[in-house]
Amino acid sequence: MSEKSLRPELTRRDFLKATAMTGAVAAMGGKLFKSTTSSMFAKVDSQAADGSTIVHSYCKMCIGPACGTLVHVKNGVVTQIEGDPESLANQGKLCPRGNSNIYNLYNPYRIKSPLKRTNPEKGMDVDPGWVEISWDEAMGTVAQKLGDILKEDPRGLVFHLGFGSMADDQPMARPVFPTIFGTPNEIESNGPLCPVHFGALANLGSFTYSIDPTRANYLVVIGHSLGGDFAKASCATVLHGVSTEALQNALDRGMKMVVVNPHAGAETIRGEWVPIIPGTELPFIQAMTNVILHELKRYDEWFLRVRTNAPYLIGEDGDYVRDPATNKPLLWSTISNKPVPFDNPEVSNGRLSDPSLGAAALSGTFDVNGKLARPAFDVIMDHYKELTPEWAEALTGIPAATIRRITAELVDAAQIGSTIDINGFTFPYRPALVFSGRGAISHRGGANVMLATNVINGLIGATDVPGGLTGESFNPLPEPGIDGTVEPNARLVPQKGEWIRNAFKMPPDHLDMAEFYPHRHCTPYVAWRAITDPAKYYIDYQPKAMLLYGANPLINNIRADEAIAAFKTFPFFASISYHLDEPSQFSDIVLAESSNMERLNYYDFQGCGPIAGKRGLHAMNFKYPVVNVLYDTRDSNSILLDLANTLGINAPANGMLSGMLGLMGTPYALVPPQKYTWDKVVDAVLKSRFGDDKGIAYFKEHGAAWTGKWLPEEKTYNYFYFPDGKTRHPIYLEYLLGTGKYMKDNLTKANVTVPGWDTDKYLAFFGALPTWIPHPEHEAPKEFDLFAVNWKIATRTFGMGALDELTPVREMQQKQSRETDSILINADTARSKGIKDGDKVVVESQYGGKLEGPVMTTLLIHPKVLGFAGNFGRRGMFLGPKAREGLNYNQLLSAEDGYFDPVAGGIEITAAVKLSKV
Amino acid sequence: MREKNSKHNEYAQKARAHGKTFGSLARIFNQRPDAALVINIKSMELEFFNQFPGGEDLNSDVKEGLSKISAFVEQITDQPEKTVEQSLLVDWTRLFRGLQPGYGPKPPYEGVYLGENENDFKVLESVARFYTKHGVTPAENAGNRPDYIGLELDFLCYLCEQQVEAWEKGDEGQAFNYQLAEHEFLKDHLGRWGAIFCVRVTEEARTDFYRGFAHMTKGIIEEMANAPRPISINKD
Ligand code: SF4
Repeated sequence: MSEKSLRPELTRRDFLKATAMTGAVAAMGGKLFKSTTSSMFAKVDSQAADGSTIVHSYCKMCIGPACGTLVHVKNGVVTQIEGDPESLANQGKLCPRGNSNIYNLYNPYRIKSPLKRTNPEKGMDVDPGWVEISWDEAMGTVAQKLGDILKEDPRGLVFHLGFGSMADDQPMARPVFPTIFGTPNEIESNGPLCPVHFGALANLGSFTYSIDPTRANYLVVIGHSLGGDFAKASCATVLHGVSTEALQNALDRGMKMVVVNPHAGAETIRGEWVPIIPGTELPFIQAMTNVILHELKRYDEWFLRVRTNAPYLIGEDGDYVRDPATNKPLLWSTISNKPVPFDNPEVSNGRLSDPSLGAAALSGTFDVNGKLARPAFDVIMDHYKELTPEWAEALTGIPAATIRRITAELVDAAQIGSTIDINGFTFPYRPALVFSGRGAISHRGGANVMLATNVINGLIGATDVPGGLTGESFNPLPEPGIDGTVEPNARLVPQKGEWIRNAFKMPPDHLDMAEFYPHRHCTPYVAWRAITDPAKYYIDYQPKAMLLYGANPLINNIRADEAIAAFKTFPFFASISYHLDEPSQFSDIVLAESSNMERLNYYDFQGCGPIAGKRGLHAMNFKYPVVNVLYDTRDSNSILLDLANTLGINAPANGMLSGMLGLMGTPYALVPPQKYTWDKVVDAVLKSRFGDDKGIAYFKEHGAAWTGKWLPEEKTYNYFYFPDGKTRHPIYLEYLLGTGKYMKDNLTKANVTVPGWDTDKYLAFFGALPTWIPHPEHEAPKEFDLFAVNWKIATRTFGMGALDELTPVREMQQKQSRETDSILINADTARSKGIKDGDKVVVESQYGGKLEGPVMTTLLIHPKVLGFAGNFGRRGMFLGPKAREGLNYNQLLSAEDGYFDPVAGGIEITAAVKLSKV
Repeated sequence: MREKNSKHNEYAQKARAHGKTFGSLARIFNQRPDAALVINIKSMELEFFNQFPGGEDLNSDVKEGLSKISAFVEQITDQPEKTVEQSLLVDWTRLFRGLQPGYGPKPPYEGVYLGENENDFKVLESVARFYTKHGVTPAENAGNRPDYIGLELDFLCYLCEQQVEAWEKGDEGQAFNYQLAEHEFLKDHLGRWGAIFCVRVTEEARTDFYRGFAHMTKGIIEEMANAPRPISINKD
């Protein structure tokens, strides 16, 4: 055997050259670094390591992250994600967002370590001169700045949250940290374009509405994308309880769906599409109600009498007439022919089994202590008298005959008077409902649409019963309050002593003006103006720091310029960010957030709507990093708990967490003075549920910790908890009228007006019954002859996890349809304007916003409407070309004072626009 | 295994030089510039740069790199250390950390350069497979995707160190395996994209320090990746 060189022989010259080259670099390394040996690798067993493993995890690409996943890991790299077939919530399915989790992990543009800006100048297109820094430096800086504010005046901290921070598995962000810090300025950017909660809380005591696809036979869905456009692989709270499959099953079962929408979304393939002029949803619902009350005269009299406040006596001032001795609202008893408090057995003993009980009058005029009073139902009858289908036709563009037909179908389908037996429990059965979503309620007057929805469902008895409009979780939510009706949570009703969260105060504490908009879901756009013009908004202090997490008001809200101006005023700005989106561009310190699959966490969902025909899943998911955390990042719970520990506010944090996570009263309750890490908290939760030996270590070794159980079906309807006459759903919202009076009194006393509002115009929105007040787009100059609308698309709903910037996701969207980069116009309208498919046009809104893009002609849109799918066209110059493609619909809108809903806080989701060819 | 002989020493020396080369470059990408680095840069004398051969006796990129770094040393002579540290840190963050698509070069991950799109985790998995095949995996504190340029260079450094160890033990078979792995990794992985990335860095860098190192890295990767396949010592 002849010996040969391990390297083929080089010429002497090559050899010298190679030696010189390596010598130069090695010498340089020797000068610069202490050591140049390999330091980044650890030994593994090369045989064993090649195998692949499957890790149980759960998704978090929407706000109800119920879907269990199986993550395939090969050589330490995630190669595939699939729905976990054993996870009861999604039963093996994932939506497109869920599938994109893999890109979320390996997105090369993630933030990899905390960052500090070195360029003090701030702006969307200004290079911040980022430098990576250590966690010690980053957290130390943030803690020092926040510590000063905490000592001086906690109002100085604005904690700005959005959908990115909003999942029920991030309790430190919402509500723990802002609460224990004591700032009133927890400001949310999610919601102004979908202020859905006011109506559900008012009527059902529930955070959102949910439809019942297991039993509904007739669904009128107004301004909302269900099914394909929304794409839910599972259903969890806050998502209207409808998975795409559940909807599909309902349609297969024969449910009729009427989609009232300016745009025909995916679900209209299986339903009837009724195109409507944007913003006129309220007249449509009101006209249906008029038909029920004054034409068909078919309503659920039992339900109204026993299960709503329709028989409550109303005085001429619109308020309940109350018993002078007890202050309880009075009803007119048809047994004793006199007014009695609501809890008098003559009126409160209503029974499903005996409709004669609960003998309260629904109509008539009565003398009560010398004053005239009428049951609320009588007031409702009058209120709707003139709101005829013909009146509505002129506004909505929907023929009166269509309104009448749909109403008759709805009432027929409701099967008024029928009952259903579920596991031995008898319920009213009303398999028909009206559901109003984002497109219907995001208007000035959006709260009125919610009230009108509550009224019409109440009239047919379809409130919180099988087949009808229900709450989103299955608990004894509709517990009656002091007036005998379902009461909302603390977000509402400032004028009642026991709910003082948003009580009137001058000067106001809240930058978002909660003192003037006490029922609002969120009003971030007002806060930005108040920050830059404090005098106008009566603000007497200067916000000192912004901590932003998961919020992007520059894209997902409107008037980015106002938010930017406010952002620039903060002496200190920090963000918890997964990627450098537009708002992070303003940060002084960026705290690097880990990606979904790198987090240790759990998600408890108490009450999950129907999935594939079943209802009422109570379950828990658990996850831990599926691979080594790739970079130097941390999850938000850890970051904020650590910050609380450093700031010395760990005791209240521990107390709140113990209460929220169900640890109170267990051996695992967090001890107030101790400093916990998030891992320890999760470990305590797991052990409290599964036993002392079953903490994180156990589940890491043995796989998933998800559990799930189906509630007995009867317990999935809240009627079960308060049956018969045990609670009442208000359809006459007396306390909203009360809020108006409360505000009027306080404004007068303080001698102020609501900034930017004419007081009478503002107060007009606070009524007990829904009133049609035309929106700004209906009053725009004539040249703005079209309306703009947009809708959610499956791959972008919630916009979480940097979906817009994940090139593969964006490319998929563009391949699927050119909708996402186009302006949709009705083909006939286009023809009449001399515009062809593909032409470039400029759309200008009544508020001055402009968008330019190619036209896509279609018959799936109302002739008076231009449509925009999703919300693209990102603005930051460093975001890259893919993210900047498409159109940012929100730029067409406005949230000027006086132009948004002063009750629920929703902004106008539509605008009057004009079109010109480029 | 054979007895260790003088040839083995020579091979070990060569492998050591390669290891130090890859290790030095890896440090540039893996380690944030700090005060110590600035002090070390400032302490470099110009004679240091004159010790290397000129003309065609040195790879042109390495030569260019040396000249850029030498220029940098001159430029910062009068600058305070803090200023230098910050400008290096800004440059390092922008060039190597892939913060935003429009901010600095495309991030230095093999999957980004060789995948079908910017996120190709199949490429990433093939890199990780290569590592595990050779008995290692990125350590928990590696703080980066397995296909990061700094990790790929560090892996090459590791392979060279293993060669040194094998030569010192006289284990020719093992030495050959690691030498082959070094060659294949350069050919199939880093050699296919590293130089492309380095060219982008030379265009985008704001300091001559990193521009210089990008040139040097490019030169090293190209030369090493084009080296002939090693042949077993035992092969007839
Ligand atoms: S519905 Fe989609 S985004 Fe939401 S948890 Fe399930 S897979 Fe994830």
